[in-house]
Amino acid sequence: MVKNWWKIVGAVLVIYATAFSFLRPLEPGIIQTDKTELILGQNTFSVTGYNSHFVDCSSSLKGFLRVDSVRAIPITVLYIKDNVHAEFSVNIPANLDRTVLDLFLSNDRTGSIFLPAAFRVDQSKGNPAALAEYTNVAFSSGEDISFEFPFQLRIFDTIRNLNFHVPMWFTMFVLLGLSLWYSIRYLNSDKIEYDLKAASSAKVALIFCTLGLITGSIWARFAWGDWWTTDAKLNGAAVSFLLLAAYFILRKSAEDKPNKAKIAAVYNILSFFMTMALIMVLPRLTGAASLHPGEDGNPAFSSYDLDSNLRMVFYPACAGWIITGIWIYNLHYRISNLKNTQS
Amino acid sequence: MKLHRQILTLIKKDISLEYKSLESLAGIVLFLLATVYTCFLTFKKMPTAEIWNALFWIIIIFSGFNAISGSFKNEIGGKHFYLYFLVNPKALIFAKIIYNSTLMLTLSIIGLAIFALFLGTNVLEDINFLSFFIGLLLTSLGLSGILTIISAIASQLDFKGGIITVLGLPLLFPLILISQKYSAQALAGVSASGNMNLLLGLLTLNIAVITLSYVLFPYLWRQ
Repeated sequence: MVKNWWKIVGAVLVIYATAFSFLRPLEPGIIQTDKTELILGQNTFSVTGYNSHFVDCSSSLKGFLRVDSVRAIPITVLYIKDNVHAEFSVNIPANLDRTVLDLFLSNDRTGSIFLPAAFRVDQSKGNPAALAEYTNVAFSSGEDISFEFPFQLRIFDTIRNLNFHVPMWFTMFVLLGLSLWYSIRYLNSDKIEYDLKAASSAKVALIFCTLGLITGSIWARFAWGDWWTTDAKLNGAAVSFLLLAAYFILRKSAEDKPNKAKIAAVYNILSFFMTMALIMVLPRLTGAASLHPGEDGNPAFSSYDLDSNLRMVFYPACAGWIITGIWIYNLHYRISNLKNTQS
Repeated sequence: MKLHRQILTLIKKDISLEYKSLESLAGIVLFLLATVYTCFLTFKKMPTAEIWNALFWIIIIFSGFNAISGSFKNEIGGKHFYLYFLVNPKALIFAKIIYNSTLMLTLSIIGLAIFALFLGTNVLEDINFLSFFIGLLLTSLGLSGILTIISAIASQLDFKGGIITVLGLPLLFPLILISQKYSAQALAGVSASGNMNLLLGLLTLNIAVITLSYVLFPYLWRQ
């Protein structure tokens, strides 16, 4: 029990991260409005919210259109259909000096939620009201919910995938590093156990690589519209998958050779460095565009959406999956070692 | 014998062996002709520079596979042991890489001529030839560096069907990505100094590949 404490830690972390990723709600937010263009004078529009509790807190629901950091145009609630749909009206004044307005809503439960650049105002249309009526921009905070995932336009609920997709790749890299380490040790010592260790960790790395590709592909379909895109990181993922698969084809076809382990170790070292060249060096050289956060001018998750709530799940998820990967590798190695000593 | 003398002797041996069986070299040139002619037949009009560049590199890679995959065919069985006692494995891998990259460079120049013949010269109008040639030289070196060690691995597996493409192609990705980008620039007329970033990348990759071959090959050689 004491000897295996790290396995318990890994299992607990994975269970914690998985449970939190699936069970906790997303922060409230605004998904869309039915129109994006407003005219001068009276307008009505309907809003689709997300976890926005319009009915639950209908008495405190209010909102405004933000003009700049101080001024705002008040909106009035016309009709609340359900918790995520409501209709509002607004009177756009004539002497407006901005054309792009942000939509802010708030109630006691959710606090302020907003949709950036929700409306454009077409100044040439409509019947302007005589008097401009501005209020002040005011934010309010809602009920304190212990843990919520951040609300992100376009990815919505799939932000939970961050806790599965990214740890798969981290685990794969750790296992690839382990495999490289044991291949080098094998070449220097000729001990067959190192070869078995290198093969086992590469096999588990291949499994995690496949899982990373699947989770990434599903996410890419949702967020970017395609199962596979041209992206520097995807090139790296594809090549690591191909090289790992080729490594096992090599091992299979060299099964009856006396120097099978040596060939495999040489190929493993070669492929590790080529994968690294592809992942680390090439994107900087060729300026390959990447859609991933944190690349190529895209904001990194850490900058605005990896908020402290998400961190509380993301870091344990990474640690948990890495430990689980090493645990699976350990089991796989022990099985293949037993098979090897029996034959 | 000193290392460089060994290298020279081994290169001479390879050249004379190639000369004795010219049909294998002729076969590769014929492969180039046939593939480019297939492209000519399938393209109704002349390809754009982008497609031209992609086709060129794909065809060069596969002629590279044809040319280099057999480079350890003569070193199996008894001859392997003969060479094993006679030469330093480091001399052997250097000799093979030098020989193969010269072969690759010749082939890619022949390939360029065949491309110009069948797929038109309008793509080549703005080409900066010196820059393009440097790219060809460095790519030939890197390509033969990777393929030589892969063919050494394949020779230990008795060249089982298709193993060399499965092992070699994914390893070539970084090299091909850089040289494809570089040559696209060179085709548009950018000089080598204007393309320093990619050129340095190619150079670094070559150094890495040759160092890896140099370090790893003796382990393959010592059975």
